[in-house]
Amino acid sequence: MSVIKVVITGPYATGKSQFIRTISEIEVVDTDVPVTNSEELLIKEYTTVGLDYGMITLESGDTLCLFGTPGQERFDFLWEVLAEGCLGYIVLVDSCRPAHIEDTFTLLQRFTQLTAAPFIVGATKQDLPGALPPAYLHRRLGLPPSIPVVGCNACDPDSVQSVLESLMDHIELILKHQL
Amino acid sequence: MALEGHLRDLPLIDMLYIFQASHKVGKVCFTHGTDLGMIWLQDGQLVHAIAVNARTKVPLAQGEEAIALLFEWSDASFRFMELCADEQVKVSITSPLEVVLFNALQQRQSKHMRQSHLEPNSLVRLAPQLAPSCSGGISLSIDHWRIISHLVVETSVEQLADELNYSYDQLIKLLEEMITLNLVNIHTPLAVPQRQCMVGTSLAPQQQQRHVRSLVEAVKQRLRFRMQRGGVHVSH
Ligand SMILES: Nc1nc2c(ncn2[C@@H]2O[C@H](COP(=O)(O)OP(=O)(O)OP(=O)(O)O)[C@@H](O)[C@H]2O)c(=O)[nH]1
Ligand SMILES: [Mg+2]
Repeated sequence: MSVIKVVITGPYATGKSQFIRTISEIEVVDTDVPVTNSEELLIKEYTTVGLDYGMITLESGDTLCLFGTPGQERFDFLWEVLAEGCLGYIVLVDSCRPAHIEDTFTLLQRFTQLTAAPFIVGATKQDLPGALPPAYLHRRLGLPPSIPVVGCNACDPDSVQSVLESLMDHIELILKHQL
Repeated sequence: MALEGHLRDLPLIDMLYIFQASHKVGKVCFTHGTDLGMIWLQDGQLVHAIAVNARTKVPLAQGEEAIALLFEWSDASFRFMELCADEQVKVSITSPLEVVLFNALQQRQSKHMRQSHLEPNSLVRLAPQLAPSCSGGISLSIDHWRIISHLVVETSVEQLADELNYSYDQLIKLLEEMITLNLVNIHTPLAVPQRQCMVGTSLAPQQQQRHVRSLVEAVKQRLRFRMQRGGVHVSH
């Protein structure tokens, strides 16, 4: 019986906790606390200080575990632990906050060095007015054409599911090329 | 919540082309010190724009002139808003977007105020979808065409200036015009090392691949099953 680890990462307030909460079968281990930093308060009320952790059991008896990284920089030390042995990861980018594109670029730079695992990008908050299209975010993040950016609404189970499916498709494609 | 930020993070040109491509309906409010600007979009087209001094209520500009003014506010903040239910939108702009933007760029007062973040090492490339033919009477110069013919491959600004024998300032001006016309994109590529599918077991590479493939298949099957059942039972 295996535990399959998929990491959900992204800068502050991109929807990591929401993404995991939306799809997990178990009650998500909630480590969110009220935000104390006044600038961050402008964005949201709660932030994750530990880990988000969600689970989906597979028919094979294996378990798919979704781990969310804490968004704030002071918890970066956890990234390495989380990235180890993961099947793949999803980098979330907020489609309504162009100011965070640069942070996402920096995070991508660091994460791609940290682990060679396959990844895709999920552009959250596509349901909100004026959301930037995934193709634009793809360009701004300087991603190679082979890495998909999938638009999503982290509050909608079908949308979260299709992002996870895109990651699995992407991994299959890499496996094919590795042959 | 809606799209919001600063023009330094989302240049006005990018914003307007994105809204045009997605046929957006709505308005965007800009704040620049005590000055306020507002633009209105119908089916992605820029139809109206105004700028006022919020303190004195003195109008600063309207229509295309207001767009030209917005070009000067490169540090302004903005917020996208949906139209109110019975909002009547005035029409003060009828030219195609690329013409409005090109004219605004020409009128720009401060030559130092760049619209794009072009640096000597910035990489530029042809936009994947070239702008619709500029119906409003903008024709490309021979210099623009020379640049286009050199951008078949992504090139740095520095290299392009060398190859075409332009001064740096001359090239920046031409590139900015081409960015305004949505012919050229700036691109800062992310270096992504080769990806590998491993899940931390000590299997031989062939077996690893088989193992990963079976895990991926199991996850996909589970997700499909979730879909068929019409949603996962989430307990909070
Ligand atoms: N409408 C909408 N709201 C979203 C979406 N994703 C996240 N949110 C909301 O945005 C806020 C922030 O989401 P979180 O899930 O807490 O973000 P996070 O990435 O876990 O944040 P940190 O742990 O602080 O880094 C919450 O109120 C979410 O419900 C989305 O796709 N659409
Ligand atoms: Mg969180």
